[in-house]
Amino acid sequence: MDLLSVPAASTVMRVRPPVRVSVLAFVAAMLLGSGAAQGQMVANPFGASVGPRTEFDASVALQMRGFPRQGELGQDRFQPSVALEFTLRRDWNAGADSVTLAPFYRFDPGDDHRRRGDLREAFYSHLGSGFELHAGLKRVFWGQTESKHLVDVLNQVDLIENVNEEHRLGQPMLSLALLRDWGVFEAFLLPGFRQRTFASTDGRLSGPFAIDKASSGIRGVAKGQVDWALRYSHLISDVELGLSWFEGTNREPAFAVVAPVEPGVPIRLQPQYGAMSQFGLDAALIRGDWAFKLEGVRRGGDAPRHLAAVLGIERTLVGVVGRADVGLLLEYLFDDRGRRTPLLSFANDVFAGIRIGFNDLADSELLAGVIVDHRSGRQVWSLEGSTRIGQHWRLSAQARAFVGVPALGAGDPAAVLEPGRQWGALVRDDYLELELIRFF
Amino acid sequence: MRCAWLASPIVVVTLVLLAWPEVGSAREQLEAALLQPAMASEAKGVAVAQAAQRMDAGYGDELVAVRMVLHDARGASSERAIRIATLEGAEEGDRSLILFDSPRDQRGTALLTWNHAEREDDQWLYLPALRRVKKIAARNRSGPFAGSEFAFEDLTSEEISNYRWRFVDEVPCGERRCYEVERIPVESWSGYSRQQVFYDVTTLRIERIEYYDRRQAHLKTLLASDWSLHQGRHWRAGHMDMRNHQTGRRTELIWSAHVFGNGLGLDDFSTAALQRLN
Repeated sequence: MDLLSVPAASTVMRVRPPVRVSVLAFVAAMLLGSGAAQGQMVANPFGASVGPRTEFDASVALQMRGFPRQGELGQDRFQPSVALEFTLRRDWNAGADSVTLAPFYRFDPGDDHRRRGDLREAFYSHLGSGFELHAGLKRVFWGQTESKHLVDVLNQVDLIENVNEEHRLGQPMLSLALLRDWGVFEAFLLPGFRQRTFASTDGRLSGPFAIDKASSGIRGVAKGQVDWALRYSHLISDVELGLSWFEGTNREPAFAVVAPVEPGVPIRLQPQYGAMSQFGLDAALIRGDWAFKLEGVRRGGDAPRHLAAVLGIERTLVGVVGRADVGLLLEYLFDDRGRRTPLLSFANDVFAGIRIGFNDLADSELLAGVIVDHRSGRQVWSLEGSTRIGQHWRLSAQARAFVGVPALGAGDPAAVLEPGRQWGALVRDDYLELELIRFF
Repeated sequence: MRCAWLASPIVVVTLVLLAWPEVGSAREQLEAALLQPAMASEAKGVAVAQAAQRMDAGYGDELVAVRMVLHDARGASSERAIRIATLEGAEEGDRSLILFDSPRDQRGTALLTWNHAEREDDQWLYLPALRRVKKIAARNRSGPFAGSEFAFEDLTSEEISNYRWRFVDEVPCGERRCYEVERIPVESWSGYSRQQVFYDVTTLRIERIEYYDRRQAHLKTLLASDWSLHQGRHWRAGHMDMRNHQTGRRTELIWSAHVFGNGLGLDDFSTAALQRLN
């Protein structure tokens, strides 16, 4: 939930020299090397015996957000919206080749930033013998922990959809995966950069801020630099291990205050996307009812070099509470920038949560949790639940509360520069969101 | 060519001659074993399980479509459509993929399982909305599968070493005769204290299982029916009915479109394969 990172606002952007390793040559070499592939592979076990298939999915979601208080900038207490999502997928060659298109549109009468269409995904895939090739706008997930996805850096966060950071924008990419007995090796070329989405000053969860689109201050874009990443993952004995390297533009912006800060006026911030080199490690080990998870990153680049990690354990209880299965989650979030850590990036925090699968006819589920900064006592509480109605509808509810810090308002703008107080920005944005989705 | 024309019936006959005595002998050996009065009932129980396993061995891989109909105690019902792919394991255990087609809000969700005889199974869940593969605790296997009366452990193939076995008797079951065998799960996470398994004496297919919970109370009964024979030796039930006697809930599984010998391999049962099912 890296909404803001004001402390780094004064960082002067440095343009990094172009990447010297020829990633393209590397990808080509890996592709050629995969000629010595292993035995025959069916692209999709369920698609092997059929001809070309076209699949179409669609959903319409009616959403209502309610806030107990007016926004910092006088925004409404209610925010209704409607979203349409389509997924069209066509494959041929027994599933070896496929195209996926996923357009999305949300209409939000109150926030013009949420009144927009987007292509969630639009990519071509080829599944070969021991390798996969993907080209287009795509989403890729890396990682193991629940409260924060540190390692997962390819896709930009679509923060305007949900501040839980689970929604992500499609990233233009060319990726090659080599599937070997010794693991999966992936190489990504990531041309193009997408900015993080933020609510407008008419919308909610904007705090007292007016966030501009970055017109400058995006690393390397003018020079046409292309981001790239490598990943290796494998199940080694009981340990699911992932190692990754990312070289490119940090998807998480720093912010510069671009106008004089005055009481009663939104604080104008400009996001700045610096260069980043990240080494990431993610691992999971499951023993009986216990799961142990780890994500760690070492980041360098324009921002000061730092380490961050999330350590988690999960205990699964089955048959303890009736039919339900229950997961108890505990995670520790660490960032060695300490007090200089950007807001909602959690320098030294604990996440505790409970996940319940009710195992009823409606597949009802519930996830409740809280992130606590044990030094300041500030907390983010969240509750997410959903249930099916009939065969085609799903009702979901989500609530979030930002607790334990004094409000930080447009009337007290200087405070925005004090790291410990930035959390006050969201104190008026506690919310309850109800969503009714019809699937087609 | 003439040789090829001649060769094919020869191959078929040879294969039948090779395979058939083996199937027959599995049952004959079992009958002989069960007649020995000195043989311990534990050894007889294992003999039945081994013979049943041998009768079904060699299916290679299998695709099947399943319609699940869930009934709760008040008479409400809900349906799910899933597809299952299974790969027969050689030294390692079987591997399986389960893909959800409906309800639509679950569409694309998939589950990959690697069974192991000697250690905990590996299991991964694919969540399509997040494009996320999550390794999950095998412990989930004793809970309800997709809200049904089947636990995951009821659906996967059984490794003999996962149970302690005891032969009870030859008993009538419906219009047939069955070997009744008691099996006690070895693994501490199992939801059962024991199961009474009823094998048809001629085909050694499982006609009925009675499940007893950790408190030794009769929990569920599974009845299999609508049998069909595949490749001359693999019996598959077209209908399974699981009744929970404690809650009044019931789940029907309607199996269809069995396809064997799809040429599937280990690569089709990897976490990479899990992400490309749809």
